[in-house]
Amino acid sequence: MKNKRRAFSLIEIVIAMAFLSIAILSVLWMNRSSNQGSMDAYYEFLAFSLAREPIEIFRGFGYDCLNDIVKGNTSPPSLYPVGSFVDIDFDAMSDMQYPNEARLFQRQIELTSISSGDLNGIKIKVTVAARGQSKVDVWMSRKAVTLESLVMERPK
Amino acid sequence: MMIKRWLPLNLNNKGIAMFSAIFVMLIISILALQFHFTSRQAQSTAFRFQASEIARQLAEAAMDEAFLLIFNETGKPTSTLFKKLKDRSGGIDCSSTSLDNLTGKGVPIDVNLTRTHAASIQNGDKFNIEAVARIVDFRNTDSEGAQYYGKEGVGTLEIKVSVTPKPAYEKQIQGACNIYRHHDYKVASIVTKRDNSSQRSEFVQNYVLDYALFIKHGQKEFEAGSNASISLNPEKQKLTIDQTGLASNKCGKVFLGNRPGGFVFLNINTVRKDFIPSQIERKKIVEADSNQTFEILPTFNASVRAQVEKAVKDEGAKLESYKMVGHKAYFEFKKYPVTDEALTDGNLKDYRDLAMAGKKAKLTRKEGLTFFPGIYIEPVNMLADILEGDIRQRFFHFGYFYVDLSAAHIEVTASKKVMGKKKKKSFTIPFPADTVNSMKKEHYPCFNYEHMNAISANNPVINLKYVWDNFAVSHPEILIDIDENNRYLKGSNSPLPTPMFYYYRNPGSTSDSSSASIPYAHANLWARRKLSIAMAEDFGILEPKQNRINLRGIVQINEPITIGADGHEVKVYGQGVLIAPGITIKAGIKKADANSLCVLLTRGYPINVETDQLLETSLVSIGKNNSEGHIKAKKQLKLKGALAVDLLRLDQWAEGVNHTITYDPALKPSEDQYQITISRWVSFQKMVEHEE
Repeated sequence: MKNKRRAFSLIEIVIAMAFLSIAILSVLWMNRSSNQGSMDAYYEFLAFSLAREPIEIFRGFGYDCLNDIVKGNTSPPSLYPVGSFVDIDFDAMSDMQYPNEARLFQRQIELTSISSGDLNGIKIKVTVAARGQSKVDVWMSRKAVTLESLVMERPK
Repeated sequence: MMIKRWLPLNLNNKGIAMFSAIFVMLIISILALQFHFTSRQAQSTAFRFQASEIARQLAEAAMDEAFLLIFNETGKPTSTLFKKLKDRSGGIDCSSTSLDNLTGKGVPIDVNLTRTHAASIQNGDKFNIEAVARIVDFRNTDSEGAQYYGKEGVGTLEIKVSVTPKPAYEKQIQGACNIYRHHDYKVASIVTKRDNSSQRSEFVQNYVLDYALFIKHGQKEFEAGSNASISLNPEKQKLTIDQTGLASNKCGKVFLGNRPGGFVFLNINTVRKDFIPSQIERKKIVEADSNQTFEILPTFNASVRAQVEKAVKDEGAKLESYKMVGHKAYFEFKKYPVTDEALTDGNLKDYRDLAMAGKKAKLTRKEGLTFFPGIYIEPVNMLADILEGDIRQRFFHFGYFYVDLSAAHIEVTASKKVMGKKKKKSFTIPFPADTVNSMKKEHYPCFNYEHMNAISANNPVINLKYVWDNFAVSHPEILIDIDENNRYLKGSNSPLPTPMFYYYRNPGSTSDSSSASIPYAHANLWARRKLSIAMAEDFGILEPKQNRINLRGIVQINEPITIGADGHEVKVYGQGVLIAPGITIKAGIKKADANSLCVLLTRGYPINVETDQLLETSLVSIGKNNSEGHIKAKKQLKLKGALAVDLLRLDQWAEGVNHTITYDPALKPSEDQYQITISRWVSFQKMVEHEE
């Protein structure tokens, strides 16, 4: 009798295992989701920072310089080619140092002239996307991050 | 045994395993939840960062657009914003509003381009974009406390841009951005209204534009050197200031720069003989009898006496007495403009020159010895409206003694001893025809004996001392004189008004409007200072390749400039003043439209005009103190505008041509015209994100 009291029945064990499985699976699912979100946020942030960088620099160039680039009268800086997607590479000798994982991205800078009445401006559009098949492609929820800005003509 | 120890199951510890498992699960769950919240937080932060960045980019773009709109609009004097800023009206002036009450104040700026742009970008349409402009500071006095003219002044314009989530997205989007920027701005008058019938009551730095011709040191120039007055009355140059067709309230004034109490002369010629305000000639001022005539004319008397003595001798008699009967002897005068054609040659010219020399010696002042008409001011019937200062014309007042012997003869009384007894006999002698004719042509000049006593003492023809003693005292008009008491007017000799700023030849202080005289003296109102030519070209002020000058306000360039170097006409856009240490003009200057206005100014440096094309501009070469700013017209000057100089130096202009100034009536506007210049530099900026 004593031994009989000390044991669990099979049904008890099965039910316990079921509860335990649900709990563990929930935790695992939540963990995976959190991991996904964190990585998404991290890469979104990184991509957005990479998009913001040329916007700030091109804003600093001012309208006249950008207009010359649009017209083909001058070339953009080699670090910031305009037109097509360009891989962001890690280069220890470069003036601009990016985080190591920045090389998982590629970036496209587009300049477009706009005008309205007397006003002239240049629209800067920067798109940052995953570079081929990489961790970013897996973790980042969006295909690409885009940031735009306007640089208006400035009186001299 | 080992297995038993290792196993957590201890049949003696009832329920421990279950509790342990639950505990572990709980801890794992808490950690998992914590990780989940952290992850969510990271995602939220990333999204918020993106939203904030979008808001900031939109705010930056809207700020750029707002500034550009304000900059462009304030460059158009007819725009609403220009008027609000100039008049500080329409709710734009918040200079006396406390910071706590600034919310919602100001004039909205429509940043449509940024709004359109926002609508096209991801999440951009979820933001409201607003921009306002407001004056937060305005000073209408300079650093010395001197009041600027009218609506002139310097101020600070604040532009505020707000980018906030639209109400429908306020919970979804937390990003917002406000940017505040301050730009200094200046309001400067370029040309101001002036009532031609009165003087200005306060200093305005563009007052020289009231004048078609303004000479600051005219008196000094008029008296300078041995060839005094030639600058205003040169022989080989002619300057016509023609305002024919302009209404009197649109005419430019003319001031030739006489000192207080002094005056300058503009010679007139035969054409303007009708400027003589009083009688041109007068006959028979006073009559001389026979004895007086003989006293006045010793040579004539001697001739008559010789003739009489011969007749008496022929009679064998002794001369007792003789007198003229039937003669007409008068003192008379005629007036001639000093450059009258009648005075170009012969005795009259000599008389005039002697009179001038005598007057000069007597009065020990330089009267202006040249006798050429150099400056013509048209139309003559509006001179009273045009002229300021004391500008005079001169006449040669030719007083002379005239004898008509047509009906005259000489009555002679002689005595002759007949039978030892003295017997008187009278008889008459007619004047020979040639004597009658020659006397009829003769006009004996009556010089002022006091001025001309050196000449008079040895004058055998006319006894000037006798004339002085017996006739001149009571009838001074019989004497030769240079009549300088007449204003340069037709049909009037009324005094002309003195310009307000005329007395103040020194720069004075702008704090004292009654002593300020330097044009465009308020450097604080200048839009730009100390630009190089390269900078002026880079800023688009000078566009030599396009043959354009783009003006907005007062601009100082620190190098001599050349306008129209390639010989092509230059067009002026906008309103403003170009200040440079030397200006050379090699081609015509044309106003692009009726509202354009250009003033070329040097601070006492010469302005070289090397073209005969029309210049639709105003030329100002006036410096401080005793500067000698002037223009050099190396070809025929055709100026439509105002000319203001320290010295005219007309005698150094191109010879043999008719230089012309036609005043631009746009310089006499019915309302003051201002230019507003806004600094491109940001004097203050504040950016607040997530303020809302």
